[in-house]
Amino acid sequence: MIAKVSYHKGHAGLHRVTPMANVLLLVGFLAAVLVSPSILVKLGVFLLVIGLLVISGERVGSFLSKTRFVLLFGVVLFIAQAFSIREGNVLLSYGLVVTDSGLLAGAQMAFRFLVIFSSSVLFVLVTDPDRLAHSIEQIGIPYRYSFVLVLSLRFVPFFRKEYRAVRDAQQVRGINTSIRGFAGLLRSIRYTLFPVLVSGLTRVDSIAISMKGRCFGLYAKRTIAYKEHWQRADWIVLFLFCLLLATSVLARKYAWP
Amino acid sequence: MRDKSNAKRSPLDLRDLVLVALLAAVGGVLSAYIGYLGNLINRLFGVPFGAGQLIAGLHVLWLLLARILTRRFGSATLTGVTKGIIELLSGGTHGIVIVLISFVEGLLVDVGMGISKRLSLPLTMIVGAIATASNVLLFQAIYFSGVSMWFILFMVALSAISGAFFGGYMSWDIYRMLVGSRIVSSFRNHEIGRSSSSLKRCLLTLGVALALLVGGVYYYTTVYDPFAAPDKARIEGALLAPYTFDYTDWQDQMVTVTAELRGSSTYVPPREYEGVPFSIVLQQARPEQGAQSVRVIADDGYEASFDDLTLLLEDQKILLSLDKGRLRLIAAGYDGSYWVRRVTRVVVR
Repeated sequence: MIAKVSYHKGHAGLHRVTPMANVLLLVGFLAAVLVSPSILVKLGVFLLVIGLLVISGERVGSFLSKTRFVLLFGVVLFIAQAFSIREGNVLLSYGLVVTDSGLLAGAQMAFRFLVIFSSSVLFVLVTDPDRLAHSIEQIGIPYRYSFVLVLSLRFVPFFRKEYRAVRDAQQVRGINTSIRGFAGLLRSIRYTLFPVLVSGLTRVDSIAISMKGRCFGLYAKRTIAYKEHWQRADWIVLFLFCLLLATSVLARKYAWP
Repeated sequence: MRDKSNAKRSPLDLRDLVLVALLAAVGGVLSAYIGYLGNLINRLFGVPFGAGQLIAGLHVLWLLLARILTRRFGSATLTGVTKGIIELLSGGTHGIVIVLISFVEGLLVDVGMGISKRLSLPLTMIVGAIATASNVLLFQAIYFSGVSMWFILFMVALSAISGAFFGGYMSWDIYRMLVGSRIVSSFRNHEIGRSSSSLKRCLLTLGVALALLVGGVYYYTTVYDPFAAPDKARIEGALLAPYTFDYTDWQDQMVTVTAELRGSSTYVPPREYEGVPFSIVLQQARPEQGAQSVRVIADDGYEASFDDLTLLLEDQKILLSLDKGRLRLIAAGYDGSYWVRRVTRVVVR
């Protein structure tokens, strides 16, 4: 199984940045690897992500061990591309053909995956989900919709508990949920999804009535308990975002290697 | 219990929003379970990955349920985006890409289910199939651009079948079960039934929508290149020395020819053009023995195909010139359709 990564409180590096600045940085990383065809840019961005992990007080060793199975997928991507592309100089022809263009394309895709995944992990590690959910309202999205994320995050621990209870109940009753065929798969899904779903749906009305009772949705705007303020660290992140965008467009325009 | 204050401004009422939040949370939490099932199926088939697409439809189940239960356009998209963010923040293995995938799946469910007011099993299954298949196309666009199209089509078919069953059929089945047990009796009731004529319209519309979607994804991921270097072109294909042609490096090879452009709608009288002979550009790349034709491709996907490579290697009147800062093929002596503006690739076959 893949170890889960999740947010934890910190005071260094990107932990001090507002959630929206972290979103901006994540978008910058994505733009850099999706727009730029340069392998050097991708390598540079990957090193930047690792650097930011260190600055934010995260341990690179722990990050690598938690995500090693996912990182292996990068190797699979590399191999898939290397064997799929036949154009370019042939380097190896032994049943399967490997060309220099194939290896280059494989490296491109592997780095693209690594950057997207590692920057997402960095974002998750340093961004408080609750603050993120509340920040969405501050960028102009109506609070009726931004509150869906807040509410959803509140439901997550409840459903995790319910899911665990359902699985425990299956074990206690000796229900075999192993998959040895299509019928087994269906049984497993039916015995797991339905109870969790039904336990949630029965609460919809009471939650809606409770919110209505508190006059949720009465006014077009609502007061905010905690407002995010941009500080120097956020401006540095904004500068990094612009730098990433400019680098990726220039790399594309002038065909950097 | 529809709230009146903001209801006029919002298509989703308070209970719809709670339902959306709830289904997104269930979907986000159970994605770990679905991933676990996927690993079991991969092990069952003895493959490292791929077979998990057999249950990809379970990711769309929540979006379909949201749309069916609320009957409001936008509910599936909102569920998809929220579910994607929950998965991302839970440390999901797809990273930020899952938000994009869930958004597109939700949007397709909203559009597809909006075709008919009548809830029918075939429509639900078709929408489930299309929405689920979109994940393969998006993954292909982001990570697997060089992989064989047949493999991608196989994966699309696999996920579409999964979407039809685990997405479409199961959401229909769950909805009927919820109505039967009166858990959702207070939600808006659907007119459930089947109509052969509306089904035909649905199939036709969804077929056209799918074709447009596939065409759009293909064009924007493999053909259109808006950020291509303006004075450079990749010379590739059946070559011993493929390279990137840079106009500025070939200043000492410039020649001038007089050519007349005769197109089907454009005519430019004879005038002088300056540029690099195309034959030298091709010779530099050393075409392999057996190479026969050349495709000259522009950044918007337009291309001209020359069938005789030998003739091109001898022709001194075809030039690669610079026109308004972009590469342009001047095909003197050829029809206007062979003159290509904004050249970014030359492929020898």
